[in-house]
Amino acid sequence: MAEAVKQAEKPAPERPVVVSAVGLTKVFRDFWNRPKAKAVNDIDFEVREGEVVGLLGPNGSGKSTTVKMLLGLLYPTGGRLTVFGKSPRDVENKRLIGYLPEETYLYKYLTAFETLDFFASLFGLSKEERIRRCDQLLNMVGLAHARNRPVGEFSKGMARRIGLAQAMINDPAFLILDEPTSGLDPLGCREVKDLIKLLKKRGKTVIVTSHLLSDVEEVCDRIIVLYGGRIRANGGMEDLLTIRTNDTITVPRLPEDAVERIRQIVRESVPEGEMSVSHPHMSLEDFFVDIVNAAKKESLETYGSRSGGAIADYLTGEKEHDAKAVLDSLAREEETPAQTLARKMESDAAKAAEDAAKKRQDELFARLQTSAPAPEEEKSRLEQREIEAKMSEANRKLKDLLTNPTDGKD
Amino acid sequence: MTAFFAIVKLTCRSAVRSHIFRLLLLLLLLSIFLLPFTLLGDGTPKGEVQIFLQYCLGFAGFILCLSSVWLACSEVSSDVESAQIHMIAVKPVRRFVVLLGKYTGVVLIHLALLLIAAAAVYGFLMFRLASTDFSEQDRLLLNEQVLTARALYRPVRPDFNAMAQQELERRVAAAKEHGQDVFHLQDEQARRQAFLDIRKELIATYGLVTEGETMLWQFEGLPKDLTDDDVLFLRYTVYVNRYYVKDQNSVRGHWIFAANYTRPDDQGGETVVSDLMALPEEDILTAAQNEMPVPIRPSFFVYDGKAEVGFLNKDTKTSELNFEEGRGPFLLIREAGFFSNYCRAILTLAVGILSVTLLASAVAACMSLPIAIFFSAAYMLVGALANYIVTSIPDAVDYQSEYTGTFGYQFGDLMLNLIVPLQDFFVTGHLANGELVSFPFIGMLFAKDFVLRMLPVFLLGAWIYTRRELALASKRG
Repeated sequence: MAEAVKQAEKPAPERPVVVSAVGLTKVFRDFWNRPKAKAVNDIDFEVREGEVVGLLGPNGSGKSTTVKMLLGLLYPTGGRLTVFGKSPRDVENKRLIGYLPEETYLYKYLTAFETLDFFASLFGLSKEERIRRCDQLLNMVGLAHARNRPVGEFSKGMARRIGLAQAMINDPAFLILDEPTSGLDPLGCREVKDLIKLLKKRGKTVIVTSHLLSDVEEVCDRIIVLYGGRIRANGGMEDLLTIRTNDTITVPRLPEDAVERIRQIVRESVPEGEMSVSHPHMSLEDFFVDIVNAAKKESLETYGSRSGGAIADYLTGEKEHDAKAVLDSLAREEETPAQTLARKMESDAAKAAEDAAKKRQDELFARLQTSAPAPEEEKSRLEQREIEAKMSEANRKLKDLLTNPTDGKD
Repeated sequence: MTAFFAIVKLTCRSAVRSHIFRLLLLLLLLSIFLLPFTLLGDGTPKGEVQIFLQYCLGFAGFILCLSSVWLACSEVSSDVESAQIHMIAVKPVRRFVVLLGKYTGVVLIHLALLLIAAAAVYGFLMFRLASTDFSEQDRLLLNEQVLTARALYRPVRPDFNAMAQQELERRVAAAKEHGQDVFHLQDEQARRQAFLDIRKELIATYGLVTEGETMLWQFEGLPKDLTDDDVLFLRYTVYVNRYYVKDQNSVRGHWIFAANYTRPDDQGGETVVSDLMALPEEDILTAAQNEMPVPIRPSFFVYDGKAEVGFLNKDTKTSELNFEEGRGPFLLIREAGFFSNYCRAILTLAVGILSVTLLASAVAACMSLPIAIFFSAAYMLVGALANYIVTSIPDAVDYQSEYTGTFGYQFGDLMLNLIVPLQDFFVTGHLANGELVSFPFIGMLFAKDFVLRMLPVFLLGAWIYTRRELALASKRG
């Protein structure tokens, strides 16, 4: 089985380990303690600080069981599992964790504000801090208008939003999101993904499980694919999904002659049949989000949850305050000076890589500008232009005829 | 502590916003304001007030006990089943704190309801007393026998074992004297059987007074500082013949108050006092609780906390009168006012609610909702029937030689040690009879039932709760 597991990339070793599973096994037993099902079968993985990891797999693959073991809701039958170096059942450790379950199990008789206030109280936050965070989170997830409505009356999407808000109430260092976009409209999905990206930017560790692979693809650095309780693939998104046998160049719209010149350059290395040139497609989600954003500008309202507002202050990290500072210090307490240096070096390396990529792009354009078109191609291009000019003239005449029919009679 | 109070608050909110709870609350209000109109007393103002106190407060307490069991089971168990506990268990709060918070929430809301119910019953009673025009005698009866708090003293129970042993020896000696063969009694088992038979006979005939005979009861532990201003009350129930007959008759007899003691005199010696005072022969109603103020000054027959009371059967129509053990005669002496006693009765009910909720929380912490409710209800039912077990055990001693009897005895003994008899907390009968609910009694209930029985059960339930794989028990997700 080890051969089958695709170990394409190891996470940056210098970052502290947040989750470590070694030989993790979970066997469900029946009433008579006889083994009934092996939900998780001897899996090893690590999640390091700042990573966004996607846990993928079909139904029954063991991902929910793994998540529940991470949260101390189920206990491993075998192997070793640690979160922040401690047992998942360690109560104090849970200050650093945020969890959005697959279904949001809320107390239906509580209002949206009471719900968030209750969960904030479990973290021992002061009343002022609770009110501040609850209001900001409600605004962030677009439920400020439903502040005093019982959550039992909420639609699934609204319940997901309030669930997401409660998961963020403690500004967690490690977030487990079980199907975070399930039940959300595309706008909500976009907001959740943006939020995950923001969390990643702030150095938070996130585990996401989802059936919507496009969501995972967009936000995750690394994916772990489970099937039958075993890990089938574990690696960086870039490495696992890049088709190394093909290349794609995406540039702003080029003039036809430039396209022809590129074709010519490519033809030097690749046969005509293996090449295609087309316009990139916008994803349906991006298209939908654009439409809704346009509608919002026209003040069109909806009865359900509204698109979220600004990210809560305490989550952006821009406005420091005591509670956040404590949480951050807890989350980063294991970082040594060497790790800080490594983090800086990594940042410098990323900048260098970005500069190199820009340089390569400039070189490519310079080459495109200097490449002269072949005589046959130039001829073909001129013929095409003539055809286009004739069609344009014909269209103009037809248009004139349709808009001014009397002219024809004259 | 913020987390603990948040859970307490959540539990209270859950209760207040639950439909079943609202229904129970409605039932509670009905029990206070409608029940009195459906009850018929014995036609006297005293009986009416007694019935009101006993049933209204008792029914309210019963509703609250049921409600606390239901709510505790629902709050703890359904939270696990519906997976709502997942949202709490992943937060930095210990599961024991979660369970304790839920228990406290259920208890607080029920104590608040108990206070409201108690205030409503008291207010209603006071209103009726103030608005009804009672005769002077009725008001006196009410004040002396109902709206008061009197300590109840029971007669000393005879040592039936010693009496049986003595009787056995007497019979053996008599048989030997008459030249009868008592060889078979040398066998240990046969001798034991004979002893048990005699003991049983003595218990069965205890309290029987044949015509023309007198029976005396000894009382101990009465207050030593009684003055002649203190009024003692005598309470008793008498039956005709040894078998329990509910038919009421009128029989005749005298109550006798005996002074039989030795006291030091002024010269440093001892004076033997031996005197008695009989009340006039009177008609006595059988199979009914009789109560009367003792028209003799206490200093005549009470000395050093001891007293002797007797009854002379003068009824010619019946062969024997029966004073069943546990039904008197009792002596009662006023110790506190009615309001104080009322508060003590409410406090006792509160201890009951605390104990019952503790049990329900513990059971729900490790079982599913229907099983937890069934278990708690079964426990309460067995507890309510425990009185019968209590009374059957002394008789079961007679059957110790038989396997079934031994088993029954052991089982009953075990049950008594494990199960809390629920009716112990319902002292509304005491309240209605003007009997004092003493603080030592409440303390004993708290220590015996709450601390020694329910608390270990709760701690066991909490221990299981903290170790449960919560995700396995949920029916969702």
